[in-house]
Amino acid sequence: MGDKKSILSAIIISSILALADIVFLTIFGELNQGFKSWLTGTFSHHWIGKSVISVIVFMVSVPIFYILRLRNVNTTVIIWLLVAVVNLSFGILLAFFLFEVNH
Amino acid sequence: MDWNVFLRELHVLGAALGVGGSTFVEIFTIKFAKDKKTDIFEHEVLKVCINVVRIGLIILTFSGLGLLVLWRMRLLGPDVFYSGRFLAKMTILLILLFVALLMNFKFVNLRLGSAVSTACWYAAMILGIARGLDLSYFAIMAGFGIFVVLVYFFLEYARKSYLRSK
Amino acid sequence: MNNTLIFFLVAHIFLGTFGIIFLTAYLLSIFKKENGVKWLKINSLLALLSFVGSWISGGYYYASYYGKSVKPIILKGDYPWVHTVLMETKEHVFLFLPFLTLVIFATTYFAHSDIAKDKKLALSVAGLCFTTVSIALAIMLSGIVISGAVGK
Repeated sequence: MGDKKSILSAIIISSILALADIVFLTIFGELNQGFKSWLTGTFSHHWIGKSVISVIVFMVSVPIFYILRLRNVNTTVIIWLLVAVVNLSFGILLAFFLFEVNH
Repeated sequence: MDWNVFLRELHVLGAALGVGGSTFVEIFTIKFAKDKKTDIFEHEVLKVCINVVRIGLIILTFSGLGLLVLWRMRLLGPDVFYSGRFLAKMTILLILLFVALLMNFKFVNLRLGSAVSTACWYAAMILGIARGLDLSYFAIMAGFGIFVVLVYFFLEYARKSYLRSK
Repeated sequence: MNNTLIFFLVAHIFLGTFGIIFLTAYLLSIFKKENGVKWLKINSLLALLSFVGSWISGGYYYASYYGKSVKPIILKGDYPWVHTVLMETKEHVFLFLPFLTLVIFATTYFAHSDIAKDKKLALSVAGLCFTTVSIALAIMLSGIVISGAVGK
């Protein structure tokens, strides 16, 4: 059971990181055309690059957080943290693109 | 295969199941309220009606999305997609989903939720039939608001009349 | 649009809608003891597979067709903000869905006995599920608005 809790905590925290990574890559890509061009050149399309990188971030994070044995982390708390992060991320992205259009 | 005809037929079927199912939910709820308790048989009947409504909603959703794909391929554009009638139908569908969730978690009075839900089905059906309706989105939604109130009071009147009879 | 692109577009839409339906079924049954954990696991797994399928099929359509054939039409039309705001937000927010659904599935799979006993945990999972359904619905509606901006 403790092992299951460690895996679950690792998945939840890694998902939070992946979401934060998506927001970072999106905003950085829009503000830095060189980075966006690199993504397009490497992955054939910038969006595919963001998808691949976020999956890599997630898959690398899960074993790291699993090894940290986060058994004592309260699952309910980190799920609510994930809810907060996703809502914030949605808001940030929407606000960013609204801002970009008007400027 | 004429996809347009096939999807329209499915869409009508979904609407029929949804409108019919929600109508019978109201009828049976009023009838079963007579003895102020719901036994297992009555509970099962209501469950069947609600499942018919859900199946209707699923058929309606997928056939509707299929029709939207056909509209997209025909490049019908903003004149159709952003028309008051279409936007109102989408809004009413969202209200229906939201009220269903609220009712499931008992965040709303069940009689009120059920009246709103029934009004949504009938409103969506009327908007689907009234192809030539050329009103603004806000005019249609204002009409919908009035319709919800009328449906609620009609159902309350029907409930009280039936409970007073025999 | 050739038949392959139509197939991938339809697959993207239908799989995304299935994801919403499975998650809604999950949300409606999480507090109901009589449904048991089997249906929660099935619904969350099917939702995850649906969103991953929608991700792949939508990605193919987007990367191979949207950018060069649809985006210019929208930008030249009366509603350019439909691409610059809605589509840009939608294409990136969509990436959240597989991770959120994976968390819902993983929590159901690894902690189902806790969900049944711990009301606070069940509430947090329901909150996450509701958020995911809301985002997915917003994405679906955005997709309809985006399709509507493509005129003759």
